[in-house]
Amino acid sequence: MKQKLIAIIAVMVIFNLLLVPTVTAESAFGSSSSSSESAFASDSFGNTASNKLEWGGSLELDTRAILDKNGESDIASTPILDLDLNYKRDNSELEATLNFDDSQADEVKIEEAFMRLYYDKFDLVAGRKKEVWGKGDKLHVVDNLNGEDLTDFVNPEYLERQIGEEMAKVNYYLGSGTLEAVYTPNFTPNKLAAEGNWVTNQMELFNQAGAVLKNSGSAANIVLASELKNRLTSVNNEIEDGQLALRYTNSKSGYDYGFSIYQGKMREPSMDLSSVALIKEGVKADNPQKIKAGVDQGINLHYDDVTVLGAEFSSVLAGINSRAELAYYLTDDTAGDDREVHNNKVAWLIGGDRDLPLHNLNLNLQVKSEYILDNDQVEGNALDVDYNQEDEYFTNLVSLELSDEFKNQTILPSTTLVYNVETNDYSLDNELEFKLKDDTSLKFNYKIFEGDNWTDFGQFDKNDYFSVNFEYDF
Amino acid sequence: MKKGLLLSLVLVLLISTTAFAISGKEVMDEAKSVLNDGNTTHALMGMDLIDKDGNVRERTLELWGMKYNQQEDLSKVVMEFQNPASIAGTRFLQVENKERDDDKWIYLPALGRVRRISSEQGDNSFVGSDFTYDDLSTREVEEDNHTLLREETLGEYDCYVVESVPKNLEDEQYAKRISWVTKKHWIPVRVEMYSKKTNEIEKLLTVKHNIKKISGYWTVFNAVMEDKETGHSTRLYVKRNSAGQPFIEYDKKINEKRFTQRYLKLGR
Repeated sequence: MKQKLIAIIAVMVIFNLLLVPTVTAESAFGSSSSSSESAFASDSFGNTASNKLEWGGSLELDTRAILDKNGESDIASTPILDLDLNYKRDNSELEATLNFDDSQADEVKIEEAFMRLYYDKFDLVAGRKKEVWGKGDKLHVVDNLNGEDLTDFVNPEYLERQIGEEMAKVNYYLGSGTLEAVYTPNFTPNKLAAEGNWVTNQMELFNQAGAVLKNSGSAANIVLASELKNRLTSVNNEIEDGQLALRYTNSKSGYDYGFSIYQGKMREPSMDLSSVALIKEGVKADNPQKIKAGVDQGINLHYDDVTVLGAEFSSVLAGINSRAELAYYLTDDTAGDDREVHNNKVAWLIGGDRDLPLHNLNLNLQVKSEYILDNDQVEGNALDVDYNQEDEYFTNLVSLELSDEFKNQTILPSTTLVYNVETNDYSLDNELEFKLKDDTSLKFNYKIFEGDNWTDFGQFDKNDYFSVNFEYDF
Repeated sequence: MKKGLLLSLVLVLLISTTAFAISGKEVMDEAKSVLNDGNTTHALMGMDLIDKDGNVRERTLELWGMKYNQQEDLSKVVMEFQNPASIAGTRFLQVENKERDDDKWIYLPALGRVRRISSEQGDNSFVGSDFTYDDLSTREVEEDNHTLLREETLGEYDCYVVESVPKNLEDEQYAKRISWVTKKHWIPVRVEMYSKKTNEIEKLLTVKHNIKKISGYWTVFNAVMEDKETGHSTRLYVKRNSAGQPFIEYDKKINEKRFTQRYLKLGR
């Protein structure tokens, strides 16, 4: 697949050589006809140097104490360095972001690295990139191109969680509208924690199954445990199957809107839950044979093919910065009766933010909803991948953020609640940020997770934490 | 719609005479005829945020403005922060509209996408400065009752001193403004803004007395807005090159593509 990408890049380079880029020469700044009073040397005063490598980034020292319900704490401190590189020429540029984090398995990670070629009516992009689609504010239903790194659950910011994907992209400009076309040779699913504090219930089950197999003392079971781990971790890697997506966006009369179509895969895995049920029984009974039977039956971990038809909208309505997204997820299980494939579903997001008439308070409220179609085929069927314990197939997630600012935006408190309405679980993040200098900030967070053990946030009920984050931007 | 926020960053320095009339409508119409900020404007500006202990946070921003509808006097403005690093690459785009609120978008590198924002943010601080969005929007003459209080000399300029009281106080940020408007350029070089709560001076705008013509337009190069209640102040000024030439120019060709969401996202 990497060859595919290299081929794409090669085609782009040739394309670039054949076509003379035609970005219109702009103002006459700095030309001989300029006013003698002008101090300009180019069309942009502060960025006069082209053909120059620029660099910047941030250094973070993040110290987090997990506050166990028993009063014990687990403190970890991590320095993280992000290095941004940018090389600009008249009609092309190269951008890269490197991430140095010694708490991660891959200590140096290329978050993004891509080149962009500019033409009059369009531009071309090739390389590893994070591409955010949709009008939502860090919450989307039409943003499908990048997988999410959930090894630290949802604690990092949305863009930081995104996993860069190798892609070739064309942006074509039609008046005030933009048509975007993306092809990615690979598909990267969401990455889940295999160990540590943020292991999901399901991953923990497989971890326990592996431990039972190893403890059995049987050489065959030890091999099986290793094989089980390989199968699970391999799903965290890239899958050699491409994604294709188109999006058109425009603005008219105060309304921003867009339509998109995505052809790829669901980011969450599907599997044979009857096999998982056997493994679960084996773990409960400390019975390696049952676990072996479950594994032998075939977990069939896979990612469902999906076509997502999306629409997005934003405007200012009654003083509210309003946002909406709507998506139809079309999977192969159109009848809803294939228990190993997700049913079709409709998802939407509605929300907005506005300033309140009190100090500098801003309220940001968004509701993300999902309705699983043909759910009568799922009800009561614990072996269907869409089944949930409450038999709720219309679910709503509420995100509410209240923020303020003091002393000319140098003290920034905020509190963010993310609440699953049907399952009654939530996370509550209380943040206080001090801008010590323009480039230096000190941030305190106290984050709480509550809910039943089987829910999204409740499974991390014991992971409430207090963190101190020191960040220096350069 | 009100004259847009972003272009007003320059207009705070150009300072529009429409904002501070010496007396009634006829005078204002005459004053307005003096106002001409060019068909295009391009400036590199510094914005220093200064706390009461004198600590300075420096910001640099570049601004492009273009009248896209001469008949209706409607402009498009784009602004880009160049430093500090924490906000570098943040870009604003504003398109003035006649019959509806202005369109405004912001690109935040941390979000990775362009986001529409509301025009109704009146008394909120503009990017942590002592200027509110309303401070940066020129007022219609008809919004205030104007009284010529006296004539006096301020520094090197002979000025009219004008009191402007809003007709509809409830919707306004200040109880009144008192402006010292130069007779030579029709530019207010000192503006006292009075608190609705205390009727004391809440904020004070002062303009450095080095007003000069650039390409035929009177131009202010340095203005300071001081918050009298907190002691914090913001200095807004036109940057200069090593030879001392100001980074501001008018009526130069600017590519219309600069005033698009494409530019907001890509920076070119």
